[in-house]
Amino acid sequence: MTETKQKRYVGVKETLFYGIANGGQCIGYNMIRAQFNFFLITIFGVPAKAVALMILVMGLWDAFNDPLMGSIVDRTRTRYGKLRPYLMFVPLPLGIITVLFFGGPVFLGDATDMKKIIYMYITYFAWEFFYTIGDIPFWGLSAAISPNPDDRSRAIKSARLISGIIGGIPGLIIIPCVDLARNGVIPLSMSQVFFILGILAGTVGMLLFSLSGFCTRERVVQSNDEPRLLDCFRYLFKNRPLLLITLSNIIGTVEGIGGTFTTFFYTMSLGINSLSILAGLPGTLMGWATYPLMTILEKRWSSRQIIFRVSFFHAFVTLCVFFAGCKCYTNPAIIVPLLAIQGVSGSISGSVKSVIPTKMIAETVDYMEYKTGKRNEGMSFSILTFVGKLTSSLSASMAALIMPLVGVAEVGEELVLVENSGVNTLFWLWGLVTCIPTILGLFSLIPYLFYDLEGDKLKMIQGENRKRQEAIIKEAE
Amino acid sequence: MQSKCPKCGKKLSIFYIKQTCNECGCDLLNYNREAELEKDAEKAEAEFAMLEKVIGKFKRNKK
Repeated sequence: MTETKQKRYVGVKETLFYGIANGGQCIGYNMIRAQFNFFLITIFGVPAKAVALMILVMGLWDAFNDPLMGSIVDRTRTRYGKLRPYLMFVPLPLGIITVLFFGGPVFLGDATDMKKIIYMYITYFAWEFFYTIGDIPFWGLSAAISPNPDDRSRAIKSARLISGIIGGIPGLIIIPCVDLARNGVIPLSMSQVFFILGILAGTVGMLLFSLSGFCTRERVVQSNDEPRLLDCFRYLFKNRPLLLITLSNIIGTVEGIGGTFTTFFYTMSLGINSLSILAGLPGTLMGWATYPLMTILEKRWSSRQIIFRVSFFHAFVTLCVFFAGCKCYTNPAIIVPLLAIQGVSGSISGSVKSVIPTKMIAETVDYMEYKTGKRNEGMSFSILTFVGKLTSSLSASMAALIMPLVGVAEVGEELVLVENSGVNTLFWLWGLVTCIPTILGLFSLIPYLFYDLEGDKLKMIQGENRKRQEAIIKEAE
Repeated sequence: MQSKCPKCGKKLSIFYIKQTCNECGCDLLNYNREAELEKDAEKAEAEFAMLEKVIGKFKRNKK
C-alpha cells in the first residue's frame, strides 16, 4: 500500500458513473432552484410573501441541518462504507418528494391558500431534507473514492462536467414547454406541464443519482471508532484550511450578483432576452472543454496558484469587456459578441472554481485525519453544501438591495426602469453584468493567501495517513 | 457487495449493513482490503489503457 500513491484505483466506468449520478441529481435540483418562485407563486398560486418567508426559514434551518447531517454521516459505519448507504437509499424518497412537490397544483388546484402553504412547506422541507442527506455523502465520496488525489480530481471533474450537461436539460425543456403551454400550442395546462417534468426529474434523475451508491466504492480507510457528535463540530473549527476555503466562498458571494442582473440587462438594455442564449453558447462549450484541459493546469501549478491566475484573468477580461462596451451597451451587434467573450472567460473560471476548491476540501479531510485520526468527509462537505446555498441566497438578497439603487423597481411580477431616478440605470446594469462583480470577487482570494495545505506538507500528511490506514487494514486481517 | 462473510462464509442479507459479521466479528469492510485495492488498481489501469487505445485510434483516423 505504500506504493499506492501513484496507482489509479478508479476506472473509467466508475468515474463516468459518478459524473452521471451527479447529472441525475442536478436534474431535480436545477428544476426546483430555477423555477422555484415562478412555480410556487404563478403556477401553484401560493402568496409571494409566504414563499419569501419559507425561503428565510429554510435558510436558517440549513445552517443547522447541513452540519447535523454531516455529523450523522461521519458517525456512520457500515459494511458498505459510511457514505454509500445514503447514496443507495436516498434517491427513492427524493424522487417521490420531487414528484409530489411539482404535483402540488394538480393535487390542490382549487384549495385554500393555507392548504397550499402547508403542502408547500411539507414537500419542500422533505425535499430539502433528503436532498441534503444525499448531497453531503455524494461530495464526501469524492474524498473517499480513492487515496490517489488524481482519481479524486477526475471524479470531481466528471461530476461537474456531466452535471453541467445533463443538469442543463431542464432549463432547455422548461422554457419552451412553458411558452408552448402558455400559447396553447400543446394541450396541457401549466400545472400539468410542471407535473410531467416533475415526474421525469423524480424518476430518470433519481435513477441516475442512485448510480453513485451502487456503482462506486469507498477506498479510503476510515477509523473503526466513530467520532462523538460534539467532536464532529469541534473538529470543524480546528480545520483551518477548510475555514479559509469557506471564508473565500462566502466573500465570493458578490460574484453571483452578475447572474441575477443578466436577465434584466438583456430585457431592459437589449430588448430581447433570448439573446442571452446566443451569447452564452460559446461560454457553455468552453466550460465543458475546460474540465479535460484542467489537468494541464494541475500539472503546472498548485491548486491555489490556479485559482489566483484564473480569477485575475477573468477579472481582466470583464474589465476589457466593460470598457469596450461602455458607450454602446444598448447595441446588440456589439454587446452580444462582447458578452460571448466574457462568457468564455467566465466559464473557464467557473469550471476551475467548481473543481479545485472541492478537491482542496478533500485535502482538508486528509489534514483532519492527520490531526485527529478521524476523517470528516460529512462535516467538511456539509460546509460546502451549506455555503453553496447560503451564497446563492445572499447574492439574490444583495441583488435585491442593489436594484432600487440603480433605478430598477418591481411592479407586480415585472421589473421596470424607474423614470427620473437620477441614475443611469442601463449603464449600471452594464457594469453589474461585466466587471463590478468580478473585481469585487477578487477579495475572495485574500483567505487563500494564508492557505498552506499544498506541496510537501500535503504529501507528508497523505503519507502519514496511509501508514495509519495500513495499520487499520492489518488489524482487520 | 459481498453476500457472505469473507472469513466464516456466513450468508449476509443485502439489508445487513453492520460493519462486522455477527458470527465471527470479522471487519467486513476492511478485511482483505489491500487485495481488493490491488484488484481495483488493475481494473482501472486496464480501463484507462483501453481508453487511451480508443483515443489513439480516433486521433489516427482524424489525421
